[in-house]
Amino acid sequence: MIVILGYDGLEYNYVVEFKCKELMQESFGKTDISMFTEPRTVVIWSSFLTGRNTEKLALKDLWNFRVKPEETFFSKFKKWYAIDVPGFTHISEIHAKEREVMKKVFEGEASVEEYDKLIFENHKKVKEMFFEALEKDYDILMSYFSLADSIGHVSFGLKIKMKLIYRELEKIAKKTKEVAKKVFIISDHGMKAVGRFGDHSNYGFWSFSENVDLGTPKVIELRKFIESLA
Amino acid sequence: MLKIAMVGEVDHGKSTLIGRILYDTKSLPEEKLKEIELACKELGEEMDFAFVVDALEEERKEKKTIEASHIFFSYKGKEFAIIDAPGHKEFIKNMATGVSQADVAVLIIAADEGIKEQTKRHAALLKLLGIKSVIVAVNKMDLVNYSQDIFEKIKKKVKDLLETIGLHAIAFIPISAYNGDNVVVSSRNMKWYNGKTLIEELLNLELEKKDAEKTVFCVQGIYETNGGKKLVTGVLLSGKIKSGETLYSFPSGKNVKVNGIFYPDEISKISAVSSPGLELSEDISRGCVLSNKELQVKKEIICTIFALEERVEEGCEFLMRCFTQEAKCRVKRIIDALDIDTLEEKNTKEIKPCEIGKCIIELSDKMVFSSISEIPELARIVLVKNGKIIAGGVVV
Repeated sequence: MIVILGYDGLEYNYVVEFKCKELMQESFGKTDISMFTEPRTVVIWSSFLTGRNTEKLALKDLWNFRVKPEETFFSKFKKWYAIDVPGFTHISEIHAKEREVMKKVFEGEASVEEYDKLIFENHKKVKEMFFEALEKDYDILMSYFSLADSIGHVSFGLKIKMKLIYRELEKIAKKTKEVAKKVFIISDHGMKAVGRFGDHSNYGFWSFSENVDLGTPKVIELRKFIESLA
Repeated sequence: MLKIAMVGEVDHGKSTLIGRILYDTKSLPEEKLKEIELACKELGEEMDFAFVVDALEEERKEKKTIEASHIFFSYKGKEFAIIDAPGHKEFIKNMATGVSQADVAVLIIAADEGIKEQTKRHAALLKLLGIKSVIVAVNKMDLVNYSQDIFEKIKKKVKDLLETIGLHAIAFIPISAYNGDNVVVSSRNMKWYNGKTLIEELLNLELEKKDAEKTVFCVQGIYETNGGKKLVTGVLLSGKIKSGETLYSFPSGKNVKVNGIFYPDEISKISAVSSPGLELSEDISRGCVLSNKELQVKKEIICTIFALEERVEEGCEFLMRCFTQEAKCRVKRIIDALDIDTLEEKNTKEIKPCEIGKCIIELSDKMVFSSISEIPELARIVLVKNGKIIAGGVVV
């Protein structure tokens, strides 16, 4: 089975600084997302899946935008499953609630603790779905985890907290590698600290369980690479 | 303030122990800790105290304090500073350059691994740097089922090792920094241990009293004030200075009168350990040492040194620094070197990296020295080449 772990907001520099071996895998690097006017989650993920820049279309109705399976690299595989991937199979109610509480945190109407609890709760749900799917016989399985991005927006400047988050993502990657033949890890964008908070950076992260030389690929170029694994 | 050097092999739990001490003595920034605790709970992780130390490290970097290598905390009215050095090189650099003078060392040994190469090296360094009080903390007792038998075996081995080196441990404590056994709170898992907890040992430790009558002031710099006065700045390591008194200025031995003391405003007297500005009757330079008593002035010294990245050979030339003093120097003779692995002395003409050796060093100019027990700052030296510290040591 090929597994793609979509880690939203996973920052290249933290992966290196925290020495996250399970995230770096055999080969790793940054992705080029400079073709987009802004590093927007839905746009980047749907562009990664389809291999084309979806920005113009997606911006019309960002959180309701969804690409069709036949437009994505999943069409090259017989048995596939995609969990909560933005712009494709994302679970709207989870992310709408997260965005709402995040807004309240910034406006001082909700506490960081309250927000973190919600994020961890949602993370647990997605993780459960993923590990369940990992036991099944798919050719390719992709799961999206928003943990690093969601916690990062309010706590990216608290490195120690982020280290814990990256450790959790490492654990998922490690468990995945026990089952999957090939593991590709990708983030839509990284993050940069703004005081204790975090904002999107203008590059993403990739890594693969085998030795490959992808350099700094444009995110839309990765469709071909994923298809080559079929 | 009691300064504690924490030393031990990588992965023997130094960071976890520091984190545990800070946590159990309630010395941590509560708000930040709350978020970390929640994240640990939600992610099904045990609270990792090594993370707490990382968090403090971040904070120190942000604040860019001059005491960047110290972690401060207080407990039951006593103040402590943990000297945090990531490795033995940093440790000896800090110790030898006077950044950190530890009063006591806690030697950490993991119960599941016992004595390692680094343990021997650290013990030899403690001896070299003149640290007399050593507490041995046998950590990770939880990993050996809190076995008294294993603790006693390690205790015997460490005791023998320390005796070979010439060190005496004031206490051996079985601890689990991870679970908090015998660090601040007495262990319920080791009822067979009747001794003090680590913090109790530290609380009971009395600092050696210096000769309060001996004034030692090391000159760091000379500045001109807006009013045109020349102010001599430095550190008062021992004794007191009164306005109007006459002191000797070493190495020359000439008399100088203290016309005024500024700390930061003018005051009549000042006690150790302070960093005042002095207005003096004579011009003096950086590196001079002022005292009311005779000090040892030497142009040739015997010292024990620890070589860092480069070998130290007979004939090598360096810049020697001793607190605020510096002078060019040459290694006249290597007397012996100590193999860190076997702890055997060998006759040699060089001291290799990570070896400890005794040598005779000639100086281009006279410098003031002291015994390590009296004024440790004036007994610790570093040898510098092209701005890089090549070796650190202690004047014998």
